[in-house]
Amino acid sequence: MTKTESFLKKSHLYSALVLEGFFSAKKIRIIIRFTRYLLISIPIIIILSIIFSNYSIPNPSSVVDFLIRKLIGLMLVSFGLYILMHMFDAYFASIYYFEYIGENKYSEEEIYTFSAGRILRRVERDSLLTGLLRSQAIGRKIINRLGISNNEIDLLLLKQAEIKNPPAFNTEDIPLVKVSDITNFIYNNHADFKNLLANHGLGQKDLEATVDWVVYNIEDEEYNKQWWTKEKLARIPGVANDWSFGRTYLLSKYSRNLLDDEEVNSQAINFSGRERELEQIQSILARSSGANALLVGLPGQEKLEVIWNLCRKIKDRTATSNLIGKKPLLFLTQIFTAEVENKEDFEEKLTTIFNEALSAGNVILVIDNLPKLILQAKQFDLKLYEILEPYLASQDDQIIALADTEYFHTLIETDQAMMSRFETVMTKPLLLNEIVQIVAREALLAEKKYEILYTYPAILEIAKSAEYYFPNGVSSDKAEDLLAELSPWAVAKNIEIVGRNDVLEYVGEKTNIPVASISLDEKEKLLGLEDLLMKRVIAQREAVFAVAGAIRRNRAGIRNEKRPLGSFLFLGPTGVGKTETAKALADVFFGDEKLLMRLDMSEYQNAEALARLIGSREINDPGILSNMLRENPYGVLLLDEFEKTNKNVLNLFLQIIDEGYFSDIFGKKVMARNIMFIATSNAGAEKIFEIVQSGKNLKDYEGEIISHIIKQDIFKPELINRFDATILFHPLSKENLFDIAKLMLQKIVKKLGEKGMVLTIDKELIDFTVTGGYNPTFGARPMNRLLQDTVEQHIADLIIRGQLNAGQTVSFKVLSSAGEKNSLKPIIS
Amino acid sequence: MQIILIILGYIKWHYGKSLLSLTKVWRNFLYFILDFFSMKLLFRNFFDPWKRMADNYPKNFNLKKYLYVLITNIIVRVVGIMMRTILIITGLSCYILLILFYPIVLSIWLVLPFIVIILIGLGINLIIK
Repeated sequence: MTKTESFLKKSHLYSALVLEGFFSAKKIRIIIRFTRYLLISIPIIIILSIIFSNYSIPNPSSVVDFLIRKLIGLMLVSFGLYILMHMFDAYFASIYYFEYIGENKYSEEEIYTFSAGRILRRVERDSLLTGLLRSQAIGRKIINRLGISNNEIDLLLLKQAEIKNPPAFNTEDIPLVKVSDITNFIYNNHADFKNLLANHGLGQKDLEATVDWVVYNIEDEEYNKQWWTKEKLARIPGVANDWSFGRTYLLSKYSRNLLDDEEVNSQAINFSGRERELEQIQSILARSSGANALLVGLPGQEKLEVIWNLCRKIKDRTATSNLIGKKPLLFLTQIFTAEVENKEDFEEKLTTIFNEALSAGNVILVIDNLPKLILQAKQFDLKLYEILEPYLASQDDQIIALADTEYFHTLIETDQAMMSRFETVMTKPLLLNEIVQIVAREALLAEKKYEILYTYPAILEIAKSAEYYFPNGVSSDKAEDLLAELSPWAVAKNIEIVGRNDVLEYVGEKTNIPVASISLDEKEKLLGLEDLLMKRVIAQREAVFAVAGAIRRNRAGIRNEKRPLGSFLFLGPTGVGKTETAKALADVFFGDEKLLMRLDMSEYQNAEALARLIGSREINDPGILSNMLRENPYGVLLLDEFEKTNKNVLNLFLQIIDEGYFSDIFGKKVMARNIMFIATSNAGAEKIFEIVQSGKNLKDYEGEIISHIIKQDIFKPELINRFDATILFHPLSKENLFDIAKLMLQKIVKKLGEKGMVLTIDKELIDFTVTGGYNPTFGARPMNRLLQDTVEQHIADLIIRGQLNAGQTVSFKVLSSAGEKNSLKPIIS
Repeated sequence: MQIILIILGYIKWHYGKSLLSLTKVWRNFLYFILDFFSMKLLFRNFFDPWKRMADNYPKNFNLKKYLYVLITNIIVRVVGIMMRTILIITGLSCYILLILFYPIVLSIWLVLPFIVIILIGLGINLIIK
């Protein structure tokens, strides 16, 4: 007998585990169905055969008797089996204890949980890993949820067979062996398994979360079968619950009984991570007078989820005693305010409603959107507080008001009287692992509905993406929404097992952000990013290399996700390619030059600059920067002439680059984690000129230039340090300009080509552009201007006059190097 | 060998722990009946008016009005008492039935393994013969 086996046999659960080997839950279900079918059909057959043998068969022979006897025998056996299977069912239900739900916790005498036993029973030669891989009931479920394929498992199993001395699992230190103990042991002791997980990008935490999820799922199914528990029976509403309580005529019109909500009644829907808020509300409502809670949170379902949890507790009779039997009514402020006609109507109806709520005696009034009610009262020149005061101060009231954070700060917090009557409960944002838990449980419902399977990495990605790519709103709501959209999408795409990449693909489709795992095509693009950028940005190797490196870090998923995609300070003289680099980035990496947003920081110098960027209350505007990033949460933001803006704005960007978000004037978060910030400045340009002109290597003087800028108090050192990199652009040489001129002319060629016309360029024309447009202080920018005034102007004139048509070729003869329109003569052929 | 183990394990449960579980479920049902018929509430508010429908007496004394209110209030209370009495009787009868039910279910449960053996044995006997 192996060690594992002798350990298994110590518990009374062992015989149940063996029995399960013969009669799994599925088999029991099938036998019950089959015997039930026999028990119904056999009596019918017997009756029919008696009738037929009497009437239609002339000689009622012993054949019929014989047949009937056999049938009765079959029926008795079926009945016996039917009862036996139900006995087994009860057996399993009675010994299945719950780790995660219900009261039925494991008692002290147990040495392993039933689920753990299922794995241990499949263990071969004391190698726990074989047990995990072979147990269909639980081990394989965990493996599948991790997104590991059956092929990989078969390979691993083959490998295990060769291992002579598998790591020994010591059960003595563990009072109750749970599945997580087994899996953690395997993870820490079987290097093969650890490596396999690592290949899928999974660690121990992911394994633990997956195990929790799978075990919870099994328990949940088991728990749902048990309709006879105390809480489940308590959910059936009593006949005479409201016989001693008053009726609420008008209130009923403007409210909804929350106990009837799907979210309260469905066992499957489970909102976790709200215990703290729930505790607070219960203790506030338990007060003898002034039991008024004000629940504050972000706009969305979050606040209601807390209330739903409370309702669930009321229904299960697990809430505090003064809440049991109470009727929580949600006052629908939206409908009420829409229907109220005037001041008197408002006052009268509201008074009646609160009177009804109070005199009914069993109502917990949940006021949705209290700020809206306050605002409407204001419109009618009324003070809501004065109307509500007698009720809020009363002894028997139980009121919960809901308010969005934003309005809470502006409308309620400033009102001393109102605040003195309410006890505030702030909903805290859920942590990532809490959101993962919610999504995981919600996914189980979706799986049943759509017949798909979610892997744990997919769930994790949903929770992460919801926060990351959809910046506004409550995280848990967003994650649930994402899940709800994802399921039908997966069905439409014939995806049976939804993995991490599927989630990323969907998010990519939805947001136009290339988030999916790097495809081969894209891989090449990323590896050759330098070349792609250099095609557009002439002679700025260092700059291009620095930027390309940062982007690769980001796409490989090793960047700090709490900061922007990248942040660079481009230093150098005007017209040397700083803006062009930014444009090229937007085009090459984000696929569209239009994803380049631009702010000319020289426009933000005065005192109102900050208000223009992040909004002002006076004009009720959220600000240019807030709007810009909300509309385009992904792309390149170019901050031109960064040095010209004032200190406050610089500090704002310091925060954004550091934390990846900022808050607008109304306190709403604006995310900037998918933005690449590029600040350009020609601070230190003279110094750069000096160094380059004296023939020195610019790279060696980087520190000197930066300290020069700091000394001049243009940027503070902490700001410069916040940037991922400070990149120096050197002035352009004549050769560089020649290349740039060529590039500019090629752009015109391309534009004409789209119209079917051809422009031939020669060295003469390029030389003309360089000599006419070269200006040491403005770099290449004047060349652009020159081309507009000369080449482009000529072509435009020709097209308008009808002298240049599709299929024709135009070239230019240089008459003088003066750089004027007349210096060129167009030749059409 | 394993079959014997299973049978022994099962029998140990059937005549041991399962009886405890059965009693627990039975107790759940007893609680449920009390809850379902809101017995506690009915007794506590036995004399209360029906759905709190009682009127307030007029502030300035007016015999006609006073009498009117008095009579309505008596009526709503009487209605309340009647309805509650009916429900209490129904609830109590269910409760008593459930109590009586327990020994019956328990004895069936105790002989159930034998019933299964007899049923299957008889059946097989009939089929083979």
